[in-house]
Formats: sequence, C-alpha cells, structure tokens
Amino acid sequence: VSLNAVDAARERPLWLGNYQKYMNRRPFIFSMAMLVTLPTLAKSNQTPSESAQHNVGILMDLIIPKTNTPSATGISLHKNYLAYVQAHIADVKAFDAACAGLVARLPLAKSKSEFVNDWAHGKLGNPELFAFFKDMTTRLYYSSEYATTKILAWLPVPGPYVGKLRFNTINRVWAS
Amino acid sequence: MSSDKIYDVIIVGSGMTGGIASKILTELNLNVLMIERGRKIEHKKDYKTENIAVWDIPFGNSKKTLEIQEQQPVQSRSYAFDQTTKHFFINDKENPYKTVEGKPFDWLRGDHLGGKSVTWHRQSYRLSPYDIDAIKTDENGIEWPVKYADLEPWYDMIEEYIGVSGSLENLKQLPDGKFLKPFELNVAELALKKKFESQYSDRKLIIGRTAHLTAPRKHHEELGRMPCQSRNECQRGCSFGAYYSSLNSSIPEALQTGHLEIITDRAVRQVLYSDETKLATGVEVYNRKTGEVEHYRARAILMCASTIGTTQILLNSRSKRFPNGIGNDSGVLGHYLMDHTLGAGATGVLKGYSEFTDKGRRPCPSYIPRFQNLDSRTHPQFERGYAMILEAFKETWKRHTDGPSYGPKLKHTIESNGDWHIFMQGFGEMLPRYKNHISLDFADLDACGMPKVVFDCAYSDNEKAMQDSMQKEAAEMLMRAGCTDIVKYNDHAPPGRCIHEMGTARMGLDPATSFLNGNNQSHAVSNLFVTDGSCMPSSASQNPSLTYMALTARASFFIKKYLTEAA
Repeated sequence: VSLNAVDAARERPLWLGNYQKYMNRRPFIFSMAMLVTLPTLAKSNQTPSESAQHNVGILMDLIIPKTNTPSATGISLHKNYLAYVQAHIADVKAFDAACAGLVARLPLAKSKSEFVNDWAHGKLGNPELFAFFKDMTTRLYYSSEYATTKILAWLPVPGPYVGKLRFNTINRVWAS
Repeated sequence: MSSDKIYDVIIVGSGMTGGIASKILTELNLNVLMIERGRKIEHKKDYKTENIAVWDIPFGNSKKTLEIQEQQPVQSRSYAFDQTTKHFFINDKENPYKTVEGKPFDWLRGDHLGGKSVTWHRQSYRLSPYDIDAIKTDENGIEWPVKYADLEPWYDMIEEYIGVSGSLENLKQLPDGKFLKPFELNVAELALKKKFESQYSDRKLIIGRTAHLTAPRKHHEELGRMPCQSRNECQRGCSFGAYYSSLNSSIPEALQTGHLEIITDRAVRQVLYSDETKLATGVEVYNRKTGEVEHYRARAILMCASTIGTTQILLNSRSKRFPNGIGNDSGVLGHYLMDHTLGAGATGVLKGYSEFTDKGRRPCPSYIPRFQNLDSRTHPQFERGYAMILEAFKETWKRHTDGPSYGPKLKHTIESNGDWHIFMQGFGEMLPRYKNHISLDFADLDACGMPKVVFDCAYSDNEKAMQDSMQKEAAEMLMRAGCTDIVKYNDHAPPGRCIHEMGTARMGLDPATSFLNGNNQSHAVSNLFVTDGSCMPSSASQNPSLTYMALTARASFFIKKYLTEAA
C-alpha cells in the first residue's frame, strides 16, 4: 500500500503547526467573536476593514509595544497585515472576527500583561492564533526596513568574515 | 526534435557530477550532449532574488504560506528553502512520488540547469580509509572496489578546481586536502575548541571545509569567480561565483571547448539498449515543452541525474534482455538506499563572551569529525559513526518568532547584545540495507510519462541509537565546556531530509551483488556509467558531494580510455 507522498505532506504539515486546527474551529470562533464584536462595529464609523486593521494594531502592539524603539503600529505594521494574513489563512473574515473578539475582551483583563499571558497560554481559547500572531508581528517588524536599518545593523555585503569583534564598536545587534 | 548525430557521450543531468564530467570529457576532445530535465538558467542573470533587500522579501520570508503548503509542501522542509530560494526547488504538485505507509521520505529536488550544485550546502569532506574499508571490521554492505589511495589524486584535483577552504588537521578519519585558507573560527568556537580538546582526547573542533573561495587562484579568477563576501545567502545564487556550482565553473568551461551541446526541459525516460551490440545506444527523452518524444544517440551514456533520478530512469529502461531495468542482472538496482541522519543533537548557551561579536555571515559551520568506533569499538550501542556540526552565534529575532514571550522583554532580548548560543547537530552514517529501496509504479505515470517512484525506506535501530548518542554526547560536551541552558533535541526527521540520498546503483567487486564496477561502469552494459550518489556502496558520515565529484573525474578519464579502445 502506498500513499502519495505529496498529499501525505499536506495532511501532516510539519511546519504548518496547528493553524489548520484553528481553521477547523473557525465557525465556532467566528460566531463567538461576532457576539462581542457586532455591537462595537455598530457604534463605530469605521469600515470593517479599518476596524479590522485597528484591532490587529492593538494586538500587534501587545507583542511589540513602544519602548525606546517604536511599537508595531509606530512603524505602521498593522496597515500591511492583510496581505500577510491572506497569504497564510484561507478565511480572513474568521481571522478578523477572532481578533475582534480578543480586542473586545481586553478591557475585561486586569492588565495587558495578564491578557497576553492568558492568550499565549491558551486561556482565551485559541493559542494557535497567538502563535500565528506573534510569528507575523515579530517577523514583519524585525524584517522591516526601519528595524533592519535603525534598530538592528544590516550589512548587505559584509566582506571577509571576522570572528572576533568588540560589540561596543558596533553597539547594535546585527540584522540577519 | 531528435538528432541523428552520434555523440561520444550523453550526460544525463547537469548538477554536481554532470558539470564535472562535461568539463573533463570535453577537454579530452569528446563530443558531449548534456540533457537536463529542468529549465535553462544562467549564472548571474537568473539569480533574481540575490540582491533583494530584507524588507522586500515577501511575507517576512515566511515559509508557511498557503501557496507553499499547496505547491511545495515537501520542498519547504529543506533548510535551504525560503521565499528567496523556492524557485530553485521543484513543484511537488507537478512532480508527485509515493511512499510506503508509515515510512515518509522527503525527496528534495531542483528543476533547472546546474541542479543542486546551485543550492547545495557546499561542505566538502574526504572519506577516509575508515569509511571506505569499514567492511573489514563489520558486515554491513560490501567491499568498495575503489580504495582511498585510488581516490586521493582525484580528491586533490577536484579540491583545487572547485576551491575548498579548510584547515590542515592531520586527522586519520578526515584526510586533509588541497585547501584554500580557512574561514576564521569565531570567539565562541575558539573557546569551545580549547575546552573540548582539553577534555576529550578523541575530539577536535575544526572549521568546516567548504567550497567557497577565500583566496581565489588564477583559474578561479579566469572564470570570473571572486572571494566570498560572507552574505550566507548562497542558495539564491552568487554572482561573485564565490561558491562552486556547475553553472559558474564547469559548464562554462566545457562550452568554451566547443564540444558541449546542452538541451534543457527534457526528461530522459529510458536508456536504450541494443540486443545486437549488447550496448546502450542512446536515450529516449520527453520534451517537457512540446510534449514530443525524442531520441538521442551516443557511444556512451553517463548517468548524473541524482541518486533517485538516475535509478528511476535505469529501472524504467526495460528490454527483453533486461526486464527489470537496464544492467540489473544482480537485482540490486533500486536497493541499498541511504541518507544521513539529521536533526538530533543539543543546544546551549556560552556565557562570558558577550562583549564580543562577529562580522559577516560565515557560510559554514564548524565541525567535529567522527570520533566513534575508529580503531576500536568505543560506542558499542551502534556500528560505524557520526560527525557533528557546531554553530556558535549571537541571537537574532528569528529565534523568537515562537514561544510565549512578548512585550518589552521580547524586544529587549532581540535588540540587546547577549550571550553566544551553541547549536550542535549530528550527521550519522546510515547502514546499507537491501530492504531500503525505491521501486516504480508502472501503472501510475507522471506528466513526463515516467512511472512514479515509490520509496520504502526507514532508519534502523542502529541509526536511532546513533541519534540517541548524538544528543547525549553533544549535551555532555556542552556541559563540560561550561555551557548553560542545555537542551537535547531530536526532530525525528525522515530519510531524505538531509539531501544526502545515495546508493541504489552501487559499485562493487562482484557483479552478483553490485550494479557498477570500480570504474563506475555497469557490470552488464559496458558503455553505461553512473557517477552520482547512486553509485555509493556505503554512506560514511561526511557530506558526500566531494566524493561524487572525485569519482566522476576518475570515471571520466576511464570513459575516454574506454572509447579510445573501442574505436
């Protein structure tokens, strides 16, 4: 008995993690999220896409907040989220709804850190979404032109490799 | 478009071995036709992602997109696959294969001129007498018909030609070669080297031997090749020509002779055989652009289509004389498939050197040559042995895209200077076993009309014991060197993931148990030769491409002699 290896790979995607599991539960997540989101949307003058962008920005800033360097929204990362999500998740509406549901629950948390902790550890129901969200935010932030050139140090053509250099001669972590 | 011309040699494949063969055979004044399954690409011109800025790489270079999941689910498992290199990997959907249930195999392939010489990891190590003569101390496999002394001058030739950087170490298990100056070990590796070598009399930490130009010689410069610029983006292609590929060296040189013709987008389906002459007469080819079947003739056929590709063609080359594949009197064709084990070792943190960093992205790891079961059985839980690579690096954001961390702490970790992180991973020898094999499903053809390959291959208890040892030894070495936060790991990667697949048309002394003789010549069809990884009787633990190229160079001179005598 033999299997098509490519189909098998699709069924057992090693790198895909549990996104698919998250997607399988999307009707449930969607309906739960809409319960808390619809009143918010109704009060808002924003279009749904602007609202979704806003929600994503709030969540992104929990992962990458403003410190002595800008937050995720400080470099407008949330404005580019849609292309990334569309490339990774088949049902963007379900994703947006899940984000809206999370944002709606944020004011109920004692603190932002408690909220993110709960989100990261699955207490808000969908740890897979946190994993996806963190990967997206961190990846887009630290591979952005701003972070690569202003926060980190990028050398497109380094020249001969040097194995020992005092850090204080650069004072910034290399971008890779 | 077929041709009535009779070439001296048809080379099937244009990668690591096809390139070397084309250079040598044409320089020996033989007329050569090279047939490549994939598309034509050119050095420099077709490295379309080479100079892309980090921030212009789609989706932050994520490999998890729906498109990749749909089109390249197997290929994306390669360490070298990402948004900037995916065009140098095959489309899985268009090139399906099969595996026996419960035995996954990752078949990682390119589909372009130059083959995997464009995307290889460039690590270049000689086999040693311990590897080639291993059959003298155990009963795994068969005796190699070629000894280290036979290979040594060809190793010399290939190392000088392609340019291999490395250090002279005088190790019996990893013979020195004709090296360009080595890359530097970094400050953390130097510290670990001192600690390892003071604690273990049997272990050395050396710089990886890699096919990059650190100090180009005249013949490299004449090809337009320049020193490595430490970008470590090699699999996108390198316009500096700093690492060897058949695209930047051997194929251009062969073309300069005027004796090489290349046709691309053509899948060789079978080697044709004449009952009358008892020789191979040419090849049947499927033109992937026109859909036509073409025929090309030659006095000798040299198979360099990669381990699985070559054996797929040979098994499909059936005739009345050879109903089970051309030259397959022994029945071993397709059997004794091997790959190195990958994905087991340990990681740790080396404190005390945080005030130092390095500059550049060195394109090679450091290396701990095999230290087990050499002159005596030091590791009784398994036979043969493994080498380890070691990487020492400052953390980057890429290590923090998962896990529960977030907020200011996450940013601080990524943006601040930190300690050196150490990654150790073993590469273990896979023993040759008859039951690990490929076969063809003649009832299920691919788009080129080729029967699909069916893999039936798995690691044995010996390889699993080796992986246990890799974790234990790596963790112990890191602990003794004073590292902290030590974590053992085993990814349980299936065969194929290491992209060192070999065997399936092995060399040997006895025609009853092997497919090829010591000149990489078919025992049964004297003008049929195989020099890619399928010829290997055993796998050793070293990265194998250098050995494939040395065997190809040696066989190419033999082919010239054979054709001269046959004329």
